Amino acid sequence: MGVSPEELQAKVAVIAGRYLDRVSREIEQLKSMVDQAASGDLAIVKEIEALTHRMHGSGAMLHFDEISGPAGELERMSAEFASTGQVDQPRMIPVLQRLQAAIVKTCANRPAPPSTRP
Amino acid sequence: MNRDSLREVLYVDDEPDIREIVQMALALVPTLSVRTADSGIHALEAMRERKPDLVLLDVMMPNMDGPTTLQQMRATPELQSIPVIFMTAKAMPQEVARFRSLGAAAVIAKPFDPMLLGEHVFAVWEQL
Repeated sequence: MGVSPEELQAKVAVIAGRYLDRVSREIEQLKSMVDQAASGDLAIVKEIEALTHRMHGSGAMLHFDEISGPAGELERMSAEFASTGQVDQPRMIPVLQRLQAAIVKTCANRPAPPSTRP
Repeated sequence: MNRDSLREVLYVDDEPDIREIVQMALALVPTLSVRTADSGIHALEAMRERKPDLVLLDVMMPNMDGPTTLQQMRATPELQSIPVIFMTAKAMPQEVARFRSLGAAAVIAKPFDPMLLGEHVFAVWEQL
């Protein structure tokens, strides 16, 4: 079944909105994981890597570069910690803060959904 | 290869948003049928069930990544001839060269323009 370019654009806009809703929830989860990573728990670090991998990849695809950038930094940092076994959790904090600020800013600037008519 | 001979593509990516975008992007080409899989393991199952003409493979996936999936395909007689295009954010020249040396037909950099993806895929297909 074929689709038109307009349908594709509309679908991408829906997916972008859904992405912002999801990362707004996931940032809270991520903050909690980063707190837990202070214990040096590598399982948590791998969960951080998986979560930020999704935020990074989908964010880049949807042109949310301000979110994708710091998410990618956290992803690479987590991968490095997981491979060396050394968790330098304080390094994550400023990147996490930048990621959170980017999510808040992007969500605040997103266009309002079209109003529905009765 | 003749453009008309590309009928079915399997797209493999662990990220649901990107799977959905790619499925829609390739549906711009009405003659193309697209299946998706969320992991290398599920991709191999899907390929055994029905052999696609072409596989588009994300590189970084949990459990079984793209290069390992390709390795498994090349070790499986009925799947070894299916051409594979890697789709990755890691598309620096040395990484592209590594993916090509693993047997990838081409590498498409992420993020890509969904409007142009179908044409890009056909361009690779026509050069095979």
